[in-house]
Amino acid sequence: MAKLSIPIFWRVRKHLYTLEGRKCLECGRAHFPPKNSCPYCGSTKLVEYYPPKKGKLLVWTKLYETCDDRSAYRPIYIGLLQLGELRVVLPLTDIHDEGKLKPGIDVELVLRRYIEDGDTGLIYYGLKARPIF
Amino acid sequence: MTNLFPESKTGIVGWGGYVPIYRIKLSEIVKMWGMQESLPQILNVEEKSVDNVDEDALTMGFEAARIALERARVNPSLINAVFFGTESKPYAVKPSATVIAEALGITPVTMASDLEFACRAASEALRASIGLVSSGMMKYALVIGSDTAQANPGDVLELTASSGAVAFIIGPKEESAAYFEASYSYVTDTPDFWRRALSPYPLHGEGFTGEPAYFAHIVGAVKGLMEKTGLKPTDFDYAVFHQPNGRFPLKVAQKLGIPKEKVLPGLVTPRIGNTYNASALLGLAKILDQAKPGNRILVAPFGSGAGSDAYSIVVTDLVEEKRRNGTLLSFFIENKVNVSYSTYAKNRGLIKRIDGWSL
Ligand SMILES: [Zn+2]
Repeated sequence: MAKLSIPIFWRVRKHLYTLEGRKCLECGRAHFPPKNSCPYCGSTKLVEYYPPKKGKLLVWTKLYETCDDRSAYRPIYIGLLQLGELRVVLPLTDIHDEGKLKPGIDVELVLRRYIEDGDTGLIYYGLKARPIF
Repeated sequence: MTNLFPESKTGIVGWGGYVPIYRIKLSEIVKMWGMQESLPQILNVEEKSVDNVDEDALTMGFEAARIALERARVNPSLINAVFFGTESKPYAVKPSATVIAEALGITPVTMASDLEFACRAASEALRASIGLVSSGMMKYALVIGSDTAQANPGDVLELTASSGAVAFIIGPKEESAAYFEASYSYVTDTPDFWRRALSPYPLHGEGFTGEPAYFAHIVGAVKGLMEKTGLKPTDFDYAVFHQPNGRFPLKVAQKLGIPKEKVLPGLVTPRIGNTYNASALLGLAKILDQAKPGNRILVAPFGSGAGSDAYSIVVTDLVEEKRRNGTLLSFFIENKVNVSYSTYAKNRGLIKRIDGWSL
């Protein structure tokens, strides 16, 4: 994720804090981030959808190339997760044993720091997934 | 006890504790700085918790508050106050309480503020919340104590200053897992511990930290509570005191005539260190994770500067059901990974780097 501007972050903060997505009343599928029309069937009949805080890890990868602000987080683990009806890509955290990071393990959402705007700017928070080993 | 105090209309509707996964052994810090090898044993602390690089007092406070909310099972919009007690807030100016309130769906109709009184701010928040709820001004209030405690590397404080968070939802007695019987505060101007505005680490006034601060204030608060209520040490099944190390709580219990068997179940510092604003209140969370209906708990947090509050808390029939609805504190205490001093130094931001650092 690129460094966020203050207004953009402010607009999406609820989504970063709660993963508030949308569920389609026509085809019944849920998506995140929320769009104005269903990405699967195009319907605009959508309702808010909040995923459960626990789910499963489907696949994961890791990044070594990071921006300066997040060099202390390196490597950054990224997971595709199934959270209730939602499929979502999130950073993974508290990874101390990569060998245990297997598809199908349980994960739990936790609020963590995403990025800091230098030493004097804002601290951006959002949900990450913590594997339950 | 004949008198009913206003506190008795209120209780703990939900509670939650959180400790980060990482630990550093005190022996590792002792070795690093050439300290006396017997210090961990003297302090009765084996290892202390260490936050991850992406954690701070706010994120840990959120996690504890979410567990408290799961146990409380109340509509977040009915919580009308969020108090965040800390001495390690991520921003000097910008409340942590608003971020947590937003993330939990409590905003916008709520009070929200960060409170500071060394290790005692969350306890002050607890008394304020009891007042707000018992007066009928609101139905529920959320109290969080959370710290990523700072210490000058090589200072004896570094052996115990750790990270953890605790949260309580205060509400009507009828919905509570434990209700407040009475409370009592005892505060004076004492120079035992402080941190100036832009200083990264706190200092402590040698000779002031023990007797005139910790012991005098906790004894003052507990004796005041007992005089006010007519309760005696034998009336309590458990006693929880502020836990700057694993030794002081046992010593203050002895001064008050309370056997150590009543203190040990709530003593968490030997395993995780001193979590400052979470310290004594995490002890209370641990007791709520195991107490039986009818048990009476004495709780006395302490904060430098200095002050202590004493509470008498009685466990109700709802405790067992509510306990099952949230993660037990023992999960976070047992689920740990030991790290080296270098990982600890990186996570704690003790390694100085400059902007523009890259691969
Ligand atoms: Zn659709």
